[in-house]
Amino acid sequence: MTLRIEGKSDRNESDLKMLDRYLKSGDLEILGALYSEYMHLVYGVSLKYLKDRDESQDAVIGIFEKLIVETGKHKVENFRSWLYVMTKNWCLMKLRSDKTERDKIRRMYDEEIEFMENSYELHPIDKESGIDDQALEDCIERLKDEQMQCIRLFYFEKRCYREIAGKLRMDEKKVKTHLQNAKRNLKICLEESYEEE
Amino acid sequence: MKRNDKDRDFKNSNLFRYRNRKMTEGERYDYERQLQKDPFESDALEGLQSLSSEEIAKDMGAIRKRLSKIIRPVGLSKILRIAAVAVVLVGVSSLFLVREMRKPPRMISEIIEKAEQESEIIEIVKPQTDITEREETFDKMPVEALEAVKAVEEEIYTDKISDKFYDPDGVKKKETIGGVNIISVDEVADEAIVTTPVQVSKSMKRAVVVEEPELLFPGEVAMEEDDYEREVPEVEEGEVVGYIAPVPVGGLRVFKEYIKEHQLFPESWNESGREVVRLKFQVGIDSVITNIEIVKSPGDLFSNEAIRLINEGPVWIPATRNGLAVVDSVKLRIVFRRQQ
Repeated sequence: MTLRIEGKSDRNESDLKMLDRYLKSGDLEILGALYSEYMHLVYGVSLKYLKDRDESQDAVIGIFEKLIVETGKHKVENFRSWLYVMTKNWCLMKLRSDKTERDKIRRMYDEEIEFMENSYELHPIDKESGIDDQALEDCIERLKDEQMQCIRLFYFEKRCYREIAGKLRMDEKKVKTHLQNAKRNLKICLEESYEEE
Repeated sequence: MKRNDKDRDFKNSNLFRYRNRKMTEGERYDYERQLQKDPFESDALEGLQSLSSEEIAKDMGAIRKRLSKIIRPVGLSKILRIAAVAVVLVGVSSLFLVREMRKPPRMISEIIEKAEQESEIIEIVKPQTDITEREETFDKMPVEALEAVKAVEEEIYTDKISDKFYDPDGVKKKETIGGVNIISVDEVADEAIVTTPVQVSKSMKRAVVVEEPELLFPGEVAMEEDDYEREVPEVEEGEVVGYIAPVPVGGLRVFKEYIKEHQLFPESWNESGREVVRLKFQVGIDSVITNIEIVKSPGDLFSNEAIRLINEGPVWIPATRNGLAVVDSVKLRIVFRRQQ
């Protein structure tokens, strides 16, 4: 399964060209240049999971070394999402190998369901055509009040998190959580409605 | 290096400007819409949120430095230089050895005689008893002492030979290893430099050193040198060996709790009994769950719910063999039982 990121196909094309040049020449400079475009993302994701600066720096280096080995083995369709999956796996493996650091995994667990959902497929509401969908509209109607307000303000009135937070008198984080939960509920609701048809 | 470019690029990136609140409301909104679609970026943002801008800049600098070492190994030329010097030294010294060894064997006894006259140390141990004595003492010695002795040995076999070349005038020297004074080759026999007999006399000295084991214990200095000189194959610490089955993040107990908390019961099922769905699925190396297969189930409603629970539940960490992720399947039983 690949992650679709709309409007980024140009970026992906140039990524793949660079990757191809690297594979043909074996010049690490090229791979390094490509990687450095994403390095801050890899570092950020590592920080999210490992919650440690040194370990995360090691991760960025380790993932690059893995990249050297793995690029030749797979046909990469989308470099960005491939790197994302690789980064997450690297972190999960790392957490697993640190058996003494079980508590980290505990802490991470709360975030996992969300992580599962947004990893592989674009949510219907994030698709360009998604918002006009009648089924989606019906499902939004059925959401809890706060979740519905957040969805409406964000997707229909195009307000940023901070504005929504101000308007609804809640924390920015809370807004994000509401959006996340609302999207999950919408997905379940949509799947049910498709089944009924 | 394009380091400054990269820093500037990052400072101008959406991610950086967003987290530093340098965006207008409109820009913020566009970026947030993008974040909703892009888990890579939103995860990264979440992770970077915990650091200050300065910390990020510092860390990225450190990472870039380390990365460039992989891309352009600076150390390589240095290593090559050292290797070249070593090759030259070995070559020259082996020439010497070959030449000296071709000389008639009486040379050895001559030198020993000469050495016996000149050095009191050598009088203590006769060459014939050398080997046995050495073995005995080796048996008795703790590992550290052994290492130290080896270090001394290395010193003698390698360094002294090369020293001789750096020091063509044959200036007399004293070497201190681990607090033990060792008289250098030059002192034993000025004439007989790098020849086999000298090595014999050196091992005799070693035997002498061994007889005073308390002097060997402060041998750390020698050991450090030893580690530096030799390439010992290392077993990486914490390396995972063998097979580990897939597990859900947080472990099976947490997974069970998740099931209990999230399972929904078919509306038509009002019994207070218990139903079990047995299923099988594959955990890919990228944690993606595929091939969910119902092995046994009381009905579709239960099967579907079980599949939903697996699909939406905790991520599964792939199985590993010798530390490498491998695809493997998992068999699970999901029990449906209403809580009393």
